[in-house]
Amino acid sequence: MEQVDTLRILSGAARYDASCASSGSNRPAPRGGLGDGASSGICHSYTPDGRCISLLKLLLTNACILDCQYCVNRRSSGVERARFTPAEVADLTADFYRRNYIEGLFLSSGIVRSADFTMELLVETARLLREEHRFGGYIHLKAIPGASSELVLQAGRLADRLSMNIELPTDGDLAKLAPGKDAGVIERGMRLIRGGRDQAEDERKRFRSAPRFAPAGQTTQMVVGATPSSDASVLARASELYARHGLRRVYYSAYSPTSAPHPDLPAARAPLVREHRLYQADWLMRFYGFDAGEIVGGSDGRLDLELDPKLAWALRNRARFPVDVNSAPRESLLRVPGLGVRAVERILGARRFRRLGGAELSRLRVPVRRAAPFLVWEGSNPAVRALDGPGLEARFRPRAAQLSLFQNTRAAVTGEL
Amino acid sequence: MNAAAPLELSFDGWRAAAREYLALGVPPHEAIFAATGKEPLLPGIAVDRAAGRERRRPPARVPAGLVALGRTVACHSSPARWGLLYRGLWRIACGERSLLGNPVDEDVFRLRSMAHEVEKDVHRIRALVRFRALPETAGERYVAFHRPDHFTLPLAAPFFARRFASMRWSILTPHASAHWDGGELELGPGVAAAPSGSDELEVLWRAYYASSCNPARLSPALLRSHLPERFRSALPEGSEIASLLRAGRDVASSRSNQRAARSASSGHRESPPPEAPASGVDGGAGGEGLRFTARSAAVGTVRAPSLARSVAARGQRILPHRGQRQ
Repeated sequence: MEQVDTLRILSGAARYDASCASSGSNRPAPRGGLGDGASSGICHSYTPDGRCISLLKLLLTNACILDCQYCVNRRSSGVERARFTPAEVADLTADFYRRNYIEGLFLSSGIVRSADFTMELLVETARLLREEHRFGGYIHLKAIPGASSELVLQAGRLADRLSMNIELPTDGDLAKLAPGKDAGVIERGMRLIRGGRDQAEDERKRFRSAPRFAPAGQTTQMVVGATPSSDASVLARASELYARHGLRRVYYSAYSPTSAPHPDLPAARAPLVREHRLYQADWLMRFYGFDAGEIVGGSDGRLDLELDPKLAWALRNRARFPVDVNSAPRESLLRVPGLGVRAVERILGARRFRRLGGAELSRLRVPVRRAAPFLVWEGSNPAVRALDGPGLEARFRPRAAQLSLFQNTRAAVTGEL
Repeated sequence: MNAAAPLELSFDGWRAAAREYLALGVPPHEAIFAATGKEPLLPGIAVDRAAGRERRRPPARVPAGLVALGRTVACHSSPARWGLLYRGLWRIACGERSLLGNPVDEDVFRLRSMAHEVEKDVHRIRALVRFRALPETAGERYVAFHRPDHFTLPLAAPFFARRFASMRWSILTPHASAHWDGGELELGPGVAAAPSGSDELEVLWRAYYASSCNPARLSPALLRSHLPERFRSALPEGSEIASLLRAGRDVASSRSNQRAARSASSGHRESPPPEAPASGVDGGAGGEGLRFTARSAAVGTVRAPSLARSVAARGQRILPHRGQRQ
């Protein structure tokens, strides 16, 4: 098979992994080597689906001995199979990197023969890059559940980030759809990676030259919408994983049906807006001081798809508003719809110079119109009168007539409204 | 490094002139900064007009923040930048020592906005420069052509010197060029257009780009906000975009046909799919959401809840020079 065809198959198979981040590692450039880490990450391109291309994202092979029903590469799927050797991937990564196409490599693989055999190939690719190419760019390796701890630790010393996918929100879901996988084994792997990181950090406190271990941390991904598990259980699981394993991020991937799906799986794909709302909720947990339990309001455990979760929370908790821009603590400002982390920082900074009114807020690039019903500021703010009125929620919620525009064929075709 | 750069790029030239103005007590609205031909920046007023003025001593120390901000703002393409910087300097000299810390001050706001645009432009150079390996007498040289919005190549070049220290490379832009042969970073004059030449790796890169795109998740609005059209023609993958959008449209219409067929045969309507036509945010989600609402309600017009647009607008605001958030 031509190299370009193999590349097409194995990158197409890898695109279901949502992560493409290259941030969090400031690895220095090796002397006489190639590349370094940019701590904030760089998106080198964007595909027409709006996603960032930062890394060369590949599977080493899409052949797999497992039969996870939600996965396009499962054993029983009819897709065309291909494989790269570790050396081919290492060379291609270096070639792309030299042309400034990418920040580095994100390598995953279908399971061939055994977890250890597969993990060994991934580690070998990273080793070739680091040692033969003297590559200082970003490497994200998938850690294979059940691989020996020695291999996983070796991977952590070579890579900037490791990730082991939790796959589905609950253990029951996993047992049903991924018979070859075991949540206990996956979490053991996460614990192992965390242990490696903690130990390396400890050593670096004593010796500055101690080797690093996955300096950009570990992440995971779960598929949502393949099972009836609610958003509340998704978020509870994520919050648990953040706390237990010190994860840097949990990625959510809306399920989309593959050819010949399992009869237990839904025929339609999960709405992308649900995935978006989950990311927003995830952000609230990590940066805005929200608990998983307070984000989902309804008794059915679902996020409101029409309203962003922070706004929905504010509408349910109006008694906590309005908040005074000039005196409220950071925690309260962070809970105001429209105020992001950076807007809050700017407000806190500007407050030291003068009292802030609506004009000052717009100069701080705060979305004033959106936040106004929840704020009081210097001078009058007529918008706050709407806070206790009956019409506030309706103002934010799209009307039924508007919703139908989603079905408009042109909109469906172009994605534009 | 500055010697080879065109005169209008020089922060040091502005600084010399500004010191002179300040010493003469020239207020901001009378100070003129302009590069004329080969002359350095010259005070734009006759010195005799300043003779009667009280000489104001330059402040013993200009805050480091102003110098750093000035070096960034100096790379902006707006001719107003020099006067604005001088006004900041003047106000600090008049006693507003902590001026720069005040983000709601009009001058500070404008200066910071300019700096922000420059940083975004620097980030774009780092992201969008695409090298081609072109044969040279000894080995190969990696050459790129890029059109930045501002005079930012000198700010961006050290990044490439660090990252690609073991390669020989040149980055060409219309206003300046940067060259690296392994030892020292050299800045030279600009080049009007991309040099000819091809690189066979581009075939692989285009194949990779095309197969990374999931046609089921197309979002032209998001693409436009992240990768404005004016940058696309210089990218090797730019030529793929149109056909990917077409392919995505085919997927979408076949899906809606299937759905129609299914609901016709089963005899009942599916509940309206709440799916937004566009998302694909890989972490761009802040605590904000549909931004259209307040305005459309106020004006009374019916507007569709454009998740795509709100995500796009936010992406544009948040993503530029911070890269990704993790």
